[in-house]
Amino acid sequence: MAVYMLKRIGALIPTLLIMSVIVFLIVYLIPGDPARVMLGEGADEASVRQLREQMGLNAPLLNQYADWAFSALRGDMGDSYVLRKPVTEAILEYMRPTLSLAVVAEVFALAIAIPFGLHAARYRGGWADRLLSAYSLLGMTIPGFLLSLFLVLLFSVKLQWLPVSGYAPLSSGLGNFLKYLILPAVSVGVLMSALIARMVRASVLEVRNQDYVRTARAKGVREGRILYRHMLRNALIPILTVVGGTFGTLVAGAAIVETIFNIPGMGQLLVSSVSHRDYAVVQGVVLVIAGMYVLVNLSVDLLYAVVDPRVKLRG
Amino acid sequence: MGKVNDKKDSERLIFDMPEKAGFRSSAALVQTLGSRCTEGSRHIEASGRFEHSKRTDASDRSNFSHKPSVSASDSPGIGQGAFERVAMDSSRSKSNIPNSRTVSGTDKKRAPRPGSTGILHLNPSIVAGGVLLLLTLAAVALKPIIAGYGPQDVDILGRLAPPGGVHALGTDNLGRDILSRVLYGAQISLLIGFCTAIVSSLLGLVIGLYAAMYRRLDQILMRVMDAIYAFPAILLAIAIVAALGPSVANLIACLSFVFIPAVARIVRSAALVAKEQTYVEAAKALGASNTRVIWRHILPATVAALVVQATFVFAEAIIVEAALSFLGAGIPAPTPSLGNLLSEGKQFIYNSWWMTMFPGLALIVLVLAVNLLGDGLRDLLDPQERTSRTGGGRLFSLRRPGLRRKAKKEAREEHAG
Repeated sequence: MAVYMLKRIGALIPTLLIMSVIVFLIVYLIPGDPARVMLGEGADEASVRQLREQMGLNAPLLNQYADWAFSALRGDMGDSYVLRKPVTEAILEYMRPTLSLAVVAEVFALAIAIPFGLHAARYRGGWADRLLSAYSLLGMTIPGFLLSLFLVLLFSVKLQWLPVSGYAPLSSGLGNFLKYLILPAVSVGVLMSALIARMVRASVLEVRNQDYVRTARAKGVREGRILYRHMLRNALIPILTVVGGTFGTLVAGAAIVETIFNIPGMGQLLVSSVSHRDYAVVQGVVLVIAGMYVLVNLSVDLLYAVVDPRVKLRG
Repeated sequence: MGKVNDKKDSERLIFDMPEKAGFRSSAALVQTLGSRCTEGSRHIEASGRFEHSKRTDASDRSNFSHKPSVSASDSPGIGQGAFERVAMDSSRSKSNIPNSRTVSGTDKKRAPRPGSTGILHLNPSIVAGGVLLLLTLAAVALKPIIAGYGPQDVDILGRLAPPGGVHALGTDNLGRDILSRVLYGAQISLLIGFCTAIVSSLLGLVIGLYAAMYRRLDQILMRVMDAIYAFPAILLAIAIVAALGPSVANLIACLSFVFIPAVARIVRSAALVAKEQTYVEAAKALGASNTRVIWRHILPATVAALVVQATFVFAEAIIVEAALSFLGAGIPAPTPSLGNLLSEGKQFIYNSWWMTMFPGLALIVLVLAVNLLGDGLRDLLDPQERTSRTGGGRLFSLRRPGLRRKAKKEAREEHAG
């Protein structure tokens, strides 16, 4: 187990390295002098020179990268010149709403997807199965931000059941928290639920002819129990893989959707930094989300052994 | 399309191969090759060529989701965006672990019906997607006639007019015709989606082919692809466009960059399968250079997967572009793109639902058309994928009406038994 973990982490290093290079190079895509672009047209020479110095733009490229990467490893990703505070601090501050949204969306997605997928697999070719294929096509066709606009039109403007936008932290009560978060979570979760439901269906179809299922049936176990206790359990690994694999998309989706609902999360931070040309924050947000994604994938891999004791994690 | 499909045909494989490999008259060689190929093609029929390719891909994707030694299925490793769809679907197909029990059920492999790719039996998804896409293209081409107003024409007296009056879909807060703006927006979306699909397909194709061919290069290229792939497409695109500055050309460049890995991985896994085929071996034995092997012998085997993936990149690029414009990081404001229209609509969502509704519907129609086309192409070009769709994946089942009944019956029987 320990050897396996070490190997897995070792395999991550080149990827993380290349990812950091990509993020680092983003600033160099800016046509012309980044310092001048950041300060705007009317900036005077002195302040441009000062910012260049501050950003370390005068050093050789490799030194710049090494400096940047090592301080990022220590959790220092520079300062936001708009917010006037360290990037790490800003990101931590804005991270919680985004993560809450992502988690609620994932819970919603699983709550829909598992019964849906199981039902579709049980009555293969039946109405649930066909509904599932229509649902997944729909989930892939309607992007989250568009779905959220439509949901706002329906539930907030037309029916006036839910608030149009805003965010209430969990500390203000679960009901309040969910009232603000339900529409964004549904918008983000639909695509996820479509992907997961298809995975559930496929994995259940794969195990449904196994001996142990027949044995359970022969014992007279109820069909529902067979589905949930015997088949679903064995379908957990692929489900976990999808959940982990789509986590980055989920957080990115949450970041986009929260700009619509005015939720003060990383998406808003990113969008406002883009419009203020605050590149340190842009780099930071992208790096943090991509890093989270990598870590989630790693933990999913390690979770395999917990979910399925037959899995031996050998190096 | 038909040609590509022909190439997949195992019979064609047998008879075509010697010629491809360069021996024209050596009867003995033809015979040996022929017998080996027959075996090969039987194997292809039995276990599914594309499944194989996906499988290779899944087990090769070692970086993030190293497969544990006992894994329940050929689940995809990491995946997001366009690639997911292909990956998901591959996992829906039956695993080819020899298991005599599973053969009895509905999962039985069904050989493609002869002539099933003929025009009359054309996949309904392709027909639906194609017709939708053609209608959109026609509407975009005829937009001055259909709309009657320019996208920037301002009707001062008719601001925020609801749909149904002089302006068929209403006007926005400045009195501009929504219909006209939606059509211009659709044009830009199609342009960006199409160019992105082409550019990223070409680059991804080259990367995938060479990665499959050279081991050392593979290590480097695929690590880079994995790294790009680990970023959520939208976020990386926002960051790059923020740096480059928003314009149509920059958007295409940045979206192409973001989607290269999705194509490269698919091409690579198809190429890895092709590389092991006898005809490649034969070509090599005859002294064909690596370049020739890659472009003359391996490339054709990857075209099907490439085309399918390109349609998904097309759809995904349209979505990401709309999201970028919506967030103000895409096409600059006065130009009507669907994302810009939605973002303007959001400000007036309380009073003027039409400003949000129609650009949104247009976006859905565009993406749906391309997705349907892609789904259909996959069915057509990856015949093995079809087997998994006896009941599930099909939105319409015009093609084999008896099939659903059969599946239902089997499900019932199994349920009862």
